[in-house]
Amino acid sequence: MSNTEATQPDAVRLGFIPLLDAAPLIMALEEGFFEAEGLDVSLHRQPSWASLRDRVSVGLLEGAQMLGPMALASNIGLGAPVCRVVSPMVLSRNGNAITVRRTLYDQLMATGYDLSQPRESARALASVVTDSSEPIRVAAVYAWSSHYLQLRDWLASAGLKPGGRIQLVTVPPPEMLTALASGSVDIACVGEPWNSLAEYHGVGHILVSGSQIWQNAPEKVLGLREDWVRSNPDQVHRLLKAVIRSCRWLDDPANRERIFEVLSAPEYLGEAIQPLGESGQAVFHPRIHQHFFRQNANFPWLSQAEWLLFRMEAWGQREEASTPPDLENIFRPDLYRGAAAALGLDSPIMNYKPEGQHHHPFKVAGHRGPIEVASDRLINAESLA
Amino acid sequence: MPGDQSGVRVMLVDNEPERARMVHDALEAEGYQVICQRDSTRGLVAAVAQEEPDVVIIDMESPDRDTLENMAMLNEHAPRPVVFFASGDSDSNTIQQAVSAGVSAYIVDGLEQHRVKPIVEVAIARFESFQSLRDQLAETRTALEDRKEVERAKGLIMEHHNCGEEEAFRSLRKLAMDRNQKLGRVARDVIGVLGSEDDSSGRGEALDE
Repeated sequence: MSNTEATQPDAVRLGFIPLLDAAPLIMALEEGFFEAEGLDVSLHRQPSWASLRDRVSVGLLEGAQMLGPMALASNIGLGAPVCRVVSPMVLSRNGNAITVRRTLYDQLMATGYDLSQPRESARALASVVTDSSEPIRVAAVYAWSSHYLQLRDWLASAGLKPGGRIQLVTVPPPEMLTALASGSVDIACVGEPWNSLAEYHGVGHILVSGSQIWQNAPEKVLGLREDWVRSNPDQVHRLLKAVIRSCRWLDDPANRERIFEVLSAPEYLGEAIQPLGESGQAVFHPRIHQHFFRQNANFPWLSQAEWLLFRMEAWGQREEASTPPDLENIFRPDLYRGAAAALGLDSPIMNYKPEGQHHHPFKVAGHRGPIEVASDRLINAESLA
Repeated sequence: MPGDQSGVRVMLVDNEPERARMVHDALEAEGYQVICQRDSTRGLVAAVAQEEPDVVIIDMESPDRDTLENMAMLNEHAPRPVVFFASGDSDSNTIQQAVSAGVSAYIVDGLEQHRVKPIVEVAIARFESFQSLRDQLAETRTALEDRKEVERAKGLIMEHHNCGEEEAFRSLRKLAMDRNQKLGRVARDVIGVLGSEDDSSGRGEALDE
């Protein structure tokens, strides 16, 4: 590395939460994608989403791995002072699941519903709830998250909602396994690796994957402080290039061992994920379909920002009277396109697509021809019409 | 102490016992009622429901912040929901200072902003002085270790070069100046080289006694 002034890399501080979908940032650092762009990125592990948000908000971090709904909530000032954040790319798609205690799983099996279908499994739960004298305790992790919204959509598909026999509780992810094991939680909606680990330790069974509720939905996004983005367009461009390259690298099955080796280091996810490295295990659970790059995964569709906001409204997270946020200044497909083009990647011409109408991968117009986009089935699509 | 702080209940969530004691004492001296709580999730949710604090001060490193915020969302119609502190622009300085110090604060609906700010400021001050105490302690410890190693290196040089203490120290200091390194660092290098030779002859241990 050269020490001359001219090539002095630009320092960028990014926050992350120890989850599998922090991988795009972690691998960009460890595989040298940031360095290749002349960026001096430091990663800062955060103990909670709240602390991550606050550190971005006061300028101790330039940006972070963020939950999609969290990026929107920050701009509106839900649950915290307004913090203007820009999301120029999606970091990951899918990655959540609804995991149930073993004993509840057996009860659900006994109902005779086809548990492989998400609506059927919700109906099975409805019938167990009716017969149960005890309330069923459902754990969510964080308010402004796709986990919470997916959980509500899944419950609603069988006419269920929190209150009465369905009791919503909150548990941080690292405590979820203990909570499932001790029975203080019956159902948990949480991001990976916690579902895989619950199965590995025999305390829970994955009932529904997030992709069965919102297929291939944006899970984590890159969230950058708006004032930093405005005054550092060149760094933003290089940052996006590095992270897109990292995402492409992550989707290559040949890199699975290296991914595990890096993520299990103590400064990242640590020894908790050790079981995922054992033979016969996969870092990424086959049922959860977590992915980072393929089928234009990183494109920040404005129609998906709209969809997230729409679900936040549906579940009472935003007073309808308040001014709607300017989504076009939050999700920024223009910034993504610039970085993708610099890497020779094509991207969609349109910013919006009809959501919830594609049960199979489909083509949209790119700048150089048709390009493939992942399917986007939604559990409650028909109720939207 | 007179004033409106009497009757204001502050819940303090901090797993650092020494710092918790400092914040507790300072707040109590100002006339607040302080409830100390270790951060264990189920305990915290229950404690907030039971104790009904007006303000919750919580260490930013606690994963329970998300639990608190989730609780605020879920208990929207509960009598005393907990929400994030301060949305006014005038408070942004305090917030910035709080985040840098590692303090986060939550208020229960109904308590006026101007009554919360002094509580947060007390917490910030104690978190900051705890940090500087800890930094000082770390510095002192390094200095002590350095001194021990300088002594040991000096002993090794005296033995190997058959010289006096002062001369040994002078050559150590010269080495440090030539290399533009701290004395402690140079001493460790000297021990690395000379000490290992001695270890192989089985006499390394005795040198620094």
